[in-house]
Amino acid sequence: MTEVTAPRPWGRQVLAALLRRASARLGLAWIGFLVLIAIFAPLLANTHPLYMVVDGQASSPALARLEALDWLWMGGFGLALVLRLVPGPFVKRFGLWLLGLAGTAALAYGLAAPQTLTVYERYRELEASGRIEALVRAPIPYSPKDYLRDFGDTGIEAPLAASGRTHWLGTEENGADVASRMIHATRVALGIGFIATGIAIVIGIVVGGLMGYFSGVVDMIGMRLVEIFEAIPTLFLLLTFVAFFGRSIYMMMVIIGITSWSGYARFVRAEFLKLRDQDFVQAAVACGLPLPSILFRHMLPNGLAPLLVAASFGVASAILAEATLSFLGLGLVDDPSWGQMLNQAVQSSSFNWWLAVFPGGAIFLTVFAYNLVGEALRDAVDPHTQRGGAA
Amino acid sequence: MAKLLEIDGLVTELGNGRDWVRAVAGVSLVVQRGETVCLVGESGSGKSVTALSVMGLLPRGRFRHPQGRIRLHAERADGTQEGGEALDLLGADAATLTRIRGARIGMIFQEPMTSLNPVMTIGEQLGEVLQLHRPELSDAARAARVVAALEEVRIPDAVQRAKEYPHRLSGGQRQRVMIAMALICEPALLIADEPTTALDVTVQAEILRLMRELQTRRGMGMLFITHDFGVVAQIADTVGVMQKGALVECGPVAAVLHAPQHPYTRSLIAALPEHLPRGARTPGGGDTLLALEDLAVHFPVRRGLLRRVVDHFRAVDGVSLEVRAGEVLALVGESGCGKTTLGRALLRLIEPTAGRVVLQGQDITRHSSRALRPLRRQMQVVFQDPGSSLNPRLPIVTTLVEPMRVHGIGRDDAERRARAAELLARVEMPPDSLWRYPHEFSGGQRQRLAIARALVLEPRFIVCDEVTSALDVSVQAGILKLLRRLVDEQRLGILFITHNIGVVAYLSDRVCVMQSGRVVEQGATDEVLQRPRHAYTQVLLAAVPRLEPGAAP
Repeated sequence: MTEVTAPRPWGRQVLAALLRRASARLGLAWIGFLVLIAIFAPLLANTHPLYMVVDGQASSPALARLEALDWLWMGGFGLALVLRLVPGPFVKRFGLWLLGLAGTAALAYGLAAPQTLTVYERYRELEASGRIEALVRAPIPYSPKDYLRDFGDTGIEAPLAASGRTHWLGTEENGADVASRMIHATRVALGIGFIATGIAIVIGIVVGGLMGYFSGVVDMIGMRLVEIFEAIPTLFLLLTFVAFFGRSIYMMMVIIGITSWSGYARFVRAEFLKLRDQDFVQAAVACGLPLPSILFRHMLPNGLAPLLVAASFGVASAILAEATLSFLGLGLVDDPSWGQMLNQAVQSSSFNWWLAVFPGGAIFLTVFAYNLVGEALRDAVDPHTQRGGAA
Repeated sequence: MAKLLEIDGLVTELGNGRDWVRAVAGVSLVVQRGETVCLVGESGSGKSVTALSVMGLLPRGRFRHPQGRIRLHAERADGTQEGGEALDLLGADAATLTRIRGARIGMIFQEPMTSLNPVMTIGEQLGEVLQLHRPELSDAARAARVVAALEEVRIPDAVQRAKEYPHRLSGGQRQRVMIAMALICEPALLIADEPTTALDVTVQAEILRLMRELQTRRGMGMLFITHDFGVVAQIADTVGVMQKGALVECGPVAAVLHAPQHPYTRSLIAALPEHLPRGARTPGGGDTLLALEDLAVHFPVRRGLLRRVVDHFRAVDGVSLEVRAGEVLALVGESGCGKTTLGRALLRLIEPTAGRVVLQGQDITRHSSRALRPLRRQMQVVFQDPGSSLNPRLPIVTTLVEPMRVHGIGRDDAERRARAAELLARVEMPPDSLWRYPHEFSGGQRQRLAIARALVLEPRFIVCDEVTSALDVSVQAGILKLLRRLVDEQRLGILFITHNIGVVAYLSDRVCVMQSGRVVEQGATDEVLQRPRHAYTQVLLAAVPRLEPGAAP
């Protein structure tokens, strides 16, 4: 049989309509920029040199000290690049990517074992002693947890105020470089946004889909469940969990995820209620197709549009929730996060503007970018705003 | 007679500012006072755009008129007197058009369900028109005029109705209100865009009679747009046939309908189902494929805080019928009579309340959905709306192959694809349709693809639910011929749900007439259509608009 080239799929059309809008391009560009920064954070801001030759021995301390999580981020990026070349529908490739990511995670956590004791001062001592023959440092030569103890009691310093060192964005209360911490904090912001929203969407699709398809009693129970979850104050629950179980970024993701699915469930339910009476769904039932096929192949792709829009706003609100928690001093202990830096801006006796402006600006821009994308996506999937007269 | 509306070489182009599509390409016609001019044509022929051009109601910035003139004579308020100068509607400014619309030209739209504002009472909506065009009237006089207008279109209990909201009215009554609204300022010209298309035939007959009557009484000119030649025969004095934006034939109604000059007009009239040549039918002697025994579907009516079931709506109320191999059983009835519910209930898409569905001797009424799945192969369905009957996100090949895979037809996907291509040939579609998406096809083509989807599982029995209602007559003719061929060649059994008597006459072997959930008459098609016994069947048949008045179908 002759293979006639398939026409432009719907996803491609939406993407094209999305990219036609300047606001969406701007938002996507910022998010893409953050993603790249997050992936290559350990190569962008690190006290460990990328490459050095000491006493005739070449080594790369930065690579040697990459942690499992670093490998996971970079592995995910590499996989995405490879899978771009693989033909096949997007869903299948996305599934492959997730599978590959799980494999990379298993490998990374199984194999990567960096030294736990890190002495950042070593490199500066080596450099001072003149034993280093060749040296390539990261653009920002400070790790996020490098508190610069060898420089004495440093503490908070304004941008470019320290002598002998260059801190473009200043240092925070422990003396660590703010630019470095901000770079490493993009991972927290992006991770929490995507994973929390991902969890919420999966739960929302399953619950909402069942409610919409079966309606009746299932719908009634589901709606009560939705109402219960809508009544739970996310922030309060997070505070409670932090108080009982300590601080963990993963717990935060899960809690934000399982408290914010109700909105998605409502969207999916409404779409499915509408789709269930559509003739092509009835015809699928009449053909005797199995339920998963009807739900996920015939109904879900047709009801995905409002979900995508809601998701982009959901990512923004998850980022804000994490920032709020960190600002309240209940976020991560030692790991960098934008909200936590905001907190430090007001903690000491003076107002440290660089700790408010840069992380605050990053949060603002990121949330704004997601909102721009969401707004543009809403227009792109809306048939009324697309060019008419094609039919 | 005096000229009322003069359309002279009208060209209307629609577009987005860069690309323009010519929707009306040089139409000239004249509406005289007291005359009804019908514009007939298939969808996309430009008949509605012509009407909207006259009203100046096309979307702002999306249209232009490179050529042509539209002139309205008699601009005077009293309307009866011949005005001196004619008004050029295309060149008129917005203020003039606002003054003209409603006052000098009334308009009625197709969809009575959405043409009235649901949050305003009927009296308020009618009063608003009066307030705008006749501001000198006092409140009391205005209210009196509203009631009089409603009485004129024979809305019972008009005083009370004026205080009610549109949702309390039936479709036919809403269309009467729309007519009252269009006529309340006594316009000289009434433009009606498919005003009866959404209505049942009996209601349509009443509305047409009412419009005719009001027109003669007031001496209005009427520009009536329709796709139905039966309606044309009923109401028109002059008829214009449109094709692709051009007026291909225009003349007195009798001449155009009975001695059409243009080949397109001839082909349109020949495509009417009552004119399609019927082959010789072998009397249905096949075995029974499907039998319904006292089938009932009741929907609970819930009221009050606790949503207690207070009553049941009997959508289908004890229907018994059977469909044999190699025959088409037509199920006829007006909207709301339960025919679609019946079709869905016998496919078990809706759960029947009582009675039995027997498929080839096997009672499937109480089968679980799992037990039903293998049996689904034997009965399939084709729906009314070509826009929603195919999954817009899947290419045709997936839609056709998936059911085969589920039911284990064919060894592998390559064989299934080959079978799907074969099926496309059988429904007269090109084989490359397989790789395309539903939105790339026209309504008629989609309906053919939906039929292919139904045939893919080699069913013995197909439910066709108003499959041709949304299609143009020429397309409808093709689908009907295809269905008949499938029945004759493959001995399929078809339950054909429709409200169109002409289609019944062409296609079906036997007819079942339904009214309020019950079958009131059942028998051989010719028998029922020629000598209807039940009173309702007689009313229904009398209301069908026909080309020849009084002729049998």
